[in-house]
Amino acid sequence: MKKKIRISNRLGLHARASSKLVGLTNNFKSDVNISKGELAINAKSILGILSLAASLGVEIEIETKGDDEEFAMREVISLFDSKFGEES
Amino acid sequence: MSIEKNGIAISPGFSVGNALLINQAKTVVEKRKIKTNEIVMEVNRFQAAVEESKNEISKMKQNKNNEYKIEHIEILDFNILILEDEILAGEVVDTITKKQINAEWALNKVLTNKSKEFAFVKDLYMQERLADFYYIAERITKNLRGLNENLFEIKSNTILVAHDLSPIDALKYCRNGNVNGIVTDLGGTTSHTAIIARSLGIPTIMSLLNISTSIEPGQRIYVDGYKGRVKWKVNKSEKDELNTLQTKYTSFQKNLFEFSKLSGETKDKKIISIKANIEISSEVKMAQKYGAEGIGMYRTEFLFTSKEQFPSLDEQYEDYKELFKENLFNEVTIRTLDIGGDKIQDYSHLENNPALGLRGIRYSLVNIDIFKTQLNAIFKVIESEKKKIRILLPMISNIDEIDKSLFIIDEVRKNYSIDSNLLSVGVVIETPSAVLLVEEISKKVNFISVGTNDLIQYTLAADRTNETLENIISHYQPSVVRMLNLISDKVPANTYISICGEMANDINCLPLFIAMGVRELSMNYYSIPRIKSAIHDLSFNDCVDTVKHCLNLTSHEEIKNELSQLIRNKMKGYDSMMDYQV
Repeated sequence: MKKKIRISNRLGLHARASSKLVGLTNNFKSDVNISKGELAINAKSILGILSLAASLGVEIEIETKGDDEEFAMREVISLFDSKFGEES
Repeated sequence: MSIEKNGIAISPGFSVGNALLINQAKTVVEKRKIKTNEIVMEVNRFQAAVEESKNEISKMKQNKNNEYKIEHIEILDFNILILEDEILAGEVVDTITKKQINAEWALNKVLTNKSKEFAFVKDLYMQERLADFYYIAERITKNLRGLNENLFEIKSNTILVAHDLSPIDALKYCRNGNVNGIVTDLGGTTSHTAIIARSLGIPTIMSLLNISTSIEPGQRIYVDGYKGRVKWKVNKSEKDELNTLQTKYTSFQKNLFEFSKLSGETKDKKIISIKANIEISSEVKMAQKYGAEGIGMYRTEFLFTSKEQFPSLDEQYEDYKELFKENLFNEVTIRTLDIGGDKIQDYSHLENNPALGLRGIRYSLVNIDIFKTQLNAIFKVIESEKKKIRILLPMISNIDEIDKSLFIIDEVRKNYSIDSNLLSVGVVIETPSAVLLVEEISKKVNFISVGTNDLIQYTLAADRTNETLENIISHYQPSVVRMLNLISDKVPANTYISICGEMANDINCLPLFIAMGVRELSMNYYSIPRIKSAIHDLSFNDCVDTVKHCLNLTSHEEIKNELSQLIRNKMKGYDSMMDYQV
């Protein structure tokens, strides 16, 4: 399944946010990919996420594919929504 | 058609061998093909190095002595994530398997590809985070090397090809005697790697600009360390020509070797003691073989920097004792730690200008425990071996440093029963400041040793590791000749002057030293026969006249011409091969 969102945390997918995202995605059986324009990366790879260089306001598409794709999508979206705990 | 490249001739000699490529940014990357049955082993080696790197970082995290802030822990975690990253590990394993190359090379390839992808990332903050990726790759490479050490063997007839080679790596690679040539993109005559190459008698050429990217692993290459020329892909007739040259060289060396047995005596019976500079204690054997009459300088830096930690008193004691093994020499000179400059790769002590920083005696006087440990080891050897050691203090720039050092030496010495004639203390004259104070300095110590390499660098204010300054850093520069003259003018009569550094093994400079009344020359052992062969044909009067004339000259070319003319005219056994020398 696919879903588009806009990066809403101030620092974007920076080191700490990327670490958290990778920590989360590696728990899922499903593949998790994120694309920004033409560029699609494996969201289980810290290097992939960093090379995406997604900053505040950028639109990205999340794709989950596999047995637990719905659960994975929910969790990933909720992490983005929480702004990676940045502003808490 | 053959390909030819010219650089700076660093260490003379001819050699032919197969290229071993070493990529060195901060760490060394060996490149070699592996066999099908080695793939599994190589993949395992890579995974073990990744595991080890992860353990290292985890240990840092757990170390209770470190009061890490949450941000620090996050950075460490981030680095662990990179190590666990499938993109990195997966692609490296894939590259090892498909391309059948060693892990270091594979990692390097993946790194190169990744940096192309990362180049699109414009965000500066992200770019900086991606830098962590390179550090991690470096850490893995380092661990691969550690795991590799026993597996990786240098084959005979190897020519090292590198972008840049650190002194420590040069020593590491060359220790089994299978390296018979070194060619690098960077580097100059007086870099420490150059000094090591010469001390090991390995034909070496530097400043070849892009040799490391022009040569394929395993390529057969010809190194002419006289002309500073590298050739590869040579045809049959060229091959014959090169072989003839090599034969000529071998016979030249053989003839020269006869002189090693002679003493250093001028035509008018002035004796100059010819000694050897060494980097590692086991070099005493080679020094003796080439006719050294003693060790004029044992540089102790490699003993200190070749291991993780500085050597203990016992380790130093064992090492210094090695110098007297088999009773080859009755007297050796140990230079106390001259750390700093380009010799230390300690990133925690980065100075803006290490050549002008905390080095030599300055370092020892700040790190008194390290200094005292070294002195203790020296005295312990004198006491147990009953042999004479001369202590040489480097980088002295003022009298206060001498007073402080002598005070500490006396204090440590009290713990040992040492015959007073078994110890003497000298100072390296290598700063212009020490030259101006040389009269007072000479009165405080037993001898002085002119460290020409650094004296040239500080006199000309020219970094000796900067290859673009190669033309300025000439020991024929008028200011250098006048510096030397100043020393011989100022020192009290009968001061024992020794010369060390690259100048000491240039036959053209011999007239300068003979005219100065120098008592000792200390050099790379392989230069000893050549220098001895020249001394016998020179007399004090001839030299004084020429040197007087040189002192009026204002260009280094003129001075070089003047001095080399004298050598050509006077030397009976002059061989054109000697002109090729560094």
